[in-house]
Amino acid sequence: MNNALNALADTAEPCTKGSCVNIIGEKNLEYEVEENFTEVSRLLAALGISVNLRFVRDCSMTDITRLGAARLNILRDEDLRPVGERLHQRFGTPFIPSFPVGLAGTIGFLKSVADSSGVKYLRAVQEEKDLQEEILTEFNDITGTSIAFDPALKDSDTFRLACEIADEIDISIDRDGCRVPLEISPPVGTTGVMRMLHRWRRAIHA
Amino acid sequence: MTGAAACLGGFDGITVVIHGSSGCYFYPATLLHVPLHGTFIMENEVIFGSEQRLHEVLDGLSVKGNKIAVIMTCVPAILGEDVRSMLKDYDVILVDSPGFSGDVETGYKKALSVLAPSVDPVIEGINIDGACLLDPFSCGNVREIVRLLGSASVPVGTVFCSDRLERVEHAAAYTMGTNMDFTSGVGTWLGGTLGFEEISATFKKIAMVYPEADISPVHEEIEREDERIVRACDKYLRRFNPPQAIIFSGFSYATFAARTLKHYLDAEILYVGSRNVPGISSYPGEHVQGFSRVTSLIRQFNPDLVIGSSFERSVGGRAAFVGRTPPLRGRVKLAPHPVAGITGTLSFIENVLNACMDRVK
Repeated sequence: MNNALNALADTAEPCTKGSCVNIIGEKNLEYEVEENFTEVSRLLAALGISVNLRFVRDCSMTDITRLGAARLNILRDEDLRPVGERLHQRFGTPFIPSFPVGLAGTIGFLKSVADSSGVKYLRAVQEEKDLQEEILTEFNDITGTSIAFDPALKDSDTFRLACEIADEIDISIDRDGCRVPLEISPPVGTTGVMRMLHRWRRAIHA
Repeated sequence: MTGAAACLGGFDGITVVIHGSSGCYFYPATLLHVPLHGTFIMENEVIFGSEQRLHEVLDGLSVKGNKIAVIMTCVPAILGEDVRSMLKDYDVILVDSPGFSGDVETGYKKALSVLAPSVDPVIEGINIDGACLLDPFSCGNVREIVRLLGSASVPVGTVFCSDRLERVEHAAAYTMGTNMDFTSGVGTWLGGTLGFEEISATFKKIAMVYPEADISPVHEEIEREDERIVRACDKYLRRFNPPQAIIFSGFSYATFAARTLKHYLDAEILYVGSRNVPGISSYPGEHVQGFSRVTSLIRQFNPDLVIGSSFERSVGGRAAFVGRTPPLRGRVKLAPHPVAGITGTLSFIENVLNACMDRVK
């Protein structure tokens, strides 16, 4: 995929930079691809930043000519680093190496994007923290329960994130606990974490 | 009156006569979709009495061979005529059920009590309760429960109220329910069939009273379909937030909907507006009587999902809508979809997921 993206990127010429960002390397076959984009867009909008181009999703060859116009590239995940570096080399565009993952990761994402774009982040970060606090409070009813995950995911980033979230809301992880769903790709942003918690609660209450 | 007509009209062997004005006839006729007859009394009968008109209609119908049931409506009831004595020379069933005497469930129960159902100890099988012509899902419910009983090798007793008239007095000793707003009170109650938990519990009781039954096919099917629903709902929750729902229906279907949404989708049940007098429920709600109250509740709660009738749909705005309450207008309905049974839960969840996803688009 990286080779394909780089080949396509080579068709674009450097151009005047605007204030927008590109989204690089979305997984077109990912089930939550649109919802993940919506979440990233929401976070960017909180900083007053809009999306220039989704490279490559719902875009034409004409759209790709604008590839160099973004101030910042946001990569879907770390595997796309070679593409990020190529675009940096070709267009001088810095990049964030992945979509926001986890609650702290989402706050970190806001700060990184803001720093790279030269915008203020204090209000956006505070609002996001307030939102996260509100969401975690909604799940007080499952505090103290015990959950288990698919052991096959033990070494994955998702597993690590899930353990962090479980810790946040005082849920213990126990082999004999209630089996809750976990996907291979970690949930994106605060909304992704919220949806994960809803699925956990559904499983716990079932 | 409509409840009484829905009860009586469900039995083969009864000819139903609505003793009242044309409006009293057309209302149940359009909702129940079974042959009904009316006396169509007008100002002449109101002033000079309706006996002649009533006899005229009954004389014309008596040649059909069915048992005739006369349902009193508001106008003759208020006139204070002694309709019973008018009918002394006719072998008819008289149900005094004017519209002002109560709601649909009241009329249904009254009509059924007049039919005087009774248990016949020699009859095998399990009766099925809750069939009501007013319920768009009634036919589907009965078919579904007959299917499940068949898979457990249990014969079907009398279906209240969708059966031959002669079976009313030869009901089986045990009864299970579908739409529990309409119960017959006949036989020993075994339980309902709204949702997998209820079905499972009821079939366990069936196995206790009917030793020849093999309920394992039913439980295997529940397990299999529960897994499918969990998978579909979990997949939905990966992309979307749980719906915030407001439900308007008879109490029985409303609590089934609330329970099911909560269980499979972690939905938030904002409010339950019960069409009839509600029972005990852990969900916030009230007995909703009137369209303006429905409108104000929907505006107040601004739900993602509305479960209700065409009325609620008309004021639901951009909310996803799933129809589970009559009337359901503007839709062709041919297939017998159930709410009860295993297929009922599958159908409900399918409709909810599709409605919610379509709304997001």
